[in-house]
Amino acid sequence: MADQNHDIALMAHLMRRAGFGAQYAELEERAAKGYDATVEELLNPEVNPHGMDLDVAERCFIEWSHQTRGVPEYFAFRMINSRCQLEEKMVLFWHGILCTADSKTQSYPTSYDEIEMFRELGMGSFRDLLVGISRDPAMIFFLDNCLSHKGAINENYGRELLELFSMGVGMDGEFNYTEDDVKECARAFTGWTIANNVPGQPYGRYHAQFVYNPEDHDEGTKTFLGETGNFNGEDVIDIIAKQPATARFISRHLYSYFISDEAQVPSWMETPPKDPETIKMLEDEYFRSGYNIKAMLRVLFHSDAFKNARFQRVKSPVETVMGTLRLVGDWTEPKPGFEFIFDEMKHMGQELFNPPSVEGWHTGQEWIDGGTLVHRINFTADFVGDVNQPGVREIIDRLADAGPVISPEQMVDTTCLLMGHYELADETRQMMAASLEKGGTIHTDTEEFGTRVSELLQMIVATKEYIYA
Amino acid sequence: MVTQTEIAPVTFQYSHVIGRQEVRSGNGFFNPVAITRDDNGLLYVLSRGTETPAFFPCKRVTVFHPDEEEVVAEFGQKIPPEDADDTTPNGSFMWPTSVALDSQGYAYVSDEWLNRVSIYDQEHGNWIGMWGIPGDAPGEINRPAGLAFDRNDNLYMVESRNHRVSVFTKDGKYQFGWGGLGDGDGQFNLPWGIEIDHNGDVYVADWRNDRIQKFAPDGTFLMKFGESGDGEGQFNRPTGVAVDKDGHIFVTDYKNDRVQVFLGDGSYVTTMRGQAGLSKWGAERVYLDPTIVQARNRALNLQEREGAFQGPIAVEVDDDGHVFVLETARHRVQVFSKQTAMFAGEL
Repeated sequence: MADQNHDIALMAHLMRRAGFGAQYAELEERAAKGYDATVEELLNPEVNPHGMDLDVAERCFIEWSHQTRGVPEYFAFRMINSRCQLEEKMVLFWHGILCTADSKTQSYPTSYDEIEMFRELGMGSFRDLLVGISRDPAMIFFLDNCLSHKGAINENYGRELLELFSMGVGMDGEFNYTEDDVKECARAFTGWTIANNVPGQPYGRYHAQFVYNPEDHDEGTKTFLGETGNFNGEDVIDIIAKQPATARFISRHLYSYFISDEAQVPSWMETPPKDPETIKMLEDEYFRSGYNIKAMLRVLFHSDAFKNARFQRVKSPVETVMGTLRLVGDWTEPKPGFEFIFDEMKHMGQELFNPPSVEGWHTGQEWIDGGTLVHRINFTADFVGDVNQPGVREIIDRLADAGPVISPEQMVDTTCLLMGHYELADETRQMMAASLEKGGTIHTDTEEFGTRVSELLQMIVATKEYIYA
Repeated sequence: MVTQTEIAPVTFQYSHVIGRQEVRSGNGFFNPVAITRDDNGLLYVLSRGTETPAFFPCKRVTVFHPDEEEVVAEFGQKIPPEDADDTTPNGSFMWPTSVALDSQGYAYVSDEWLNRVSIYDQEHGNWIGMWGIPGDAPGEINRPAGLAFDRNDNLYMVESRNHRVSVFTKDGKYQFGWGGLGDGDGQFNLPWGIEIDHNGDVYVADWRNDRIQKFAPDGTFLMKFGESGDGEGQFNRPTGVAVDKDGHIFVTDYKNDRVQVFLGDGSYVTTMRGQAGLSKWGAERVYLDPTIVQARNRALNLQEREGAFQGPIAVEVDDDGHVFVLETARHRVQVFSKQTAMFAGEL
């Protein structure tokens, strides 16, 4: 029993991090299958069906089928319902690093293409992903590479490619590149642009298209990160990909996203990794595997650092909302009103497709302030307080299996287990048990029992512990 | 002597395009999903709209003349999702799917979320009634999709989630039905569009089975054609079907972004892929803003990209050889004229 509990607790941890959480029945099923097998299933979405009726969803939300509108909602729907949870989690990961914003690009079809590119390349070679983002029409427009010409470069994309997308400003107190490298990088990407698109009036937006214009490409010799040649964009990416700084940069991002909140990215030059050993392990795998993200993730999920890192990350708003919806079992089918869900994440500080800057969202404790915390708690309490939600009903029924009467302590402990093995501080646990005690003996075979469970769920999601994943 | 033993070739000449993206009322549509025409040649287009509150109220039926391109009436109203329940006001839509006209010209609109049929008069589109009981027993409805009237004012309704066709009188009295989930003859998987031809035979777009099925008016299975794919005679989620007076069958092959044309026996004839230019209503919008005009002039492959079907979802025909293709993702109707070879002399 203890082993089984340990396995399910570990599975709950894995599914919160490598996905958006799971109901207890799925945790039991996956635990029975085994940790290693589950990791492999998550790492291989190409051979494991996502299990969604996307054609039906697109039929209900008619604007999803040609990506003319509702692209953020479509993305969120897939996070909730995809069996390939890690695939969606990695799309969100890259969306938060290789950032573009619809507030500037103003083209959901083009944003959709970017997301599909993350889905296709997000667990492959990081080198290929950098080529993909450099050819991404949304990025080319967002960071002005379409304004960068032979003899009149715009440094914006070249700079961010180095600073925010691959290497970072510096590491171990040293700069990773110079201003000259930024200029040479920008020169290498001249000619990487987009076609003049069909305007959105009168028939709606069209997908933008990448175009390489050789006549606008600077064919001159460039010196970049110590190497000299007639470099084009892909040559520059080849050089970037083999830098130790790139291995460090990606490793820290993966660590922060999957294991434990790191310092914010701008401070990485001066602030060493909090767990150098695990970072080194990830860096080594980056090179050993030929820059393969999937291989790095495999090492990460099997590391002790990951397995021991339960509840050491503050959930992002997207993780909070998606995790709650998956817990209660809502939005498994299309229905009117999905816009509301999207707005909730926005009010908590994370608007999909509109990060605050090219730097993406600041994470960790920065997700939480007075306003966003109230939104978080109100949202989760509303959903777990609804006894008609199938996931809540399932928790009620499983608690009732304990017998006709359940003790307050047992009810608190079992409810925490069923929510995904949450661990409350002893003081908090005692307080909740005392609160239940005041309501008198807890009979599980009464109608009132469901209400008492939902009230307990609402108390649990209002705790500090529930903020963490 | 001229002899002719082969089937006369048929082609389709692009005529014009009607529409633009128009989120509220006026000269345009917003994610349109259904089209029909009345005896006077007026077209009725049903817009489904979107869920985005900023665009409320966005759903409606637009009635217009396809030649003059003038809107003559609009009706129906959008409700916020939180009001889409038992208290939904009369005449409003949530997820409208189809519009059909009875012999008197009254318009019937199906709503797959509210599981009901709303009825509007022919003069001003005033709501005059509704019917529909949710459920899966005979006479109850679950996710109504396509609608079509026969000559006797019986309403043939596709019920996507009950995977069947149910036939009602126009005031909602159940007559008979057929179907069930499956891929056998006479079974369906999330069917969508429906058409009744001049003989009273019934055609159903069997959406998830990627095929068209044909039935006698009483539901007796007659034939089927199509399979999954993107080749000739294959479909990727067919949504709409229409049959002209010559027996040509037109199918909106939704996810393949094309319309395929078949002979009455289901054999493949040709494919239409769209040729739209700038519509009259579109020009009204474009020429208000010189930057849009400039952008159009600069756009790479404008004609090819703008002209292609995007989400062809429903098709209508008339007895004069016109074909009206409705595109949900481009908020417009492309109009074509059928051209059949004429042979002189003795056959």
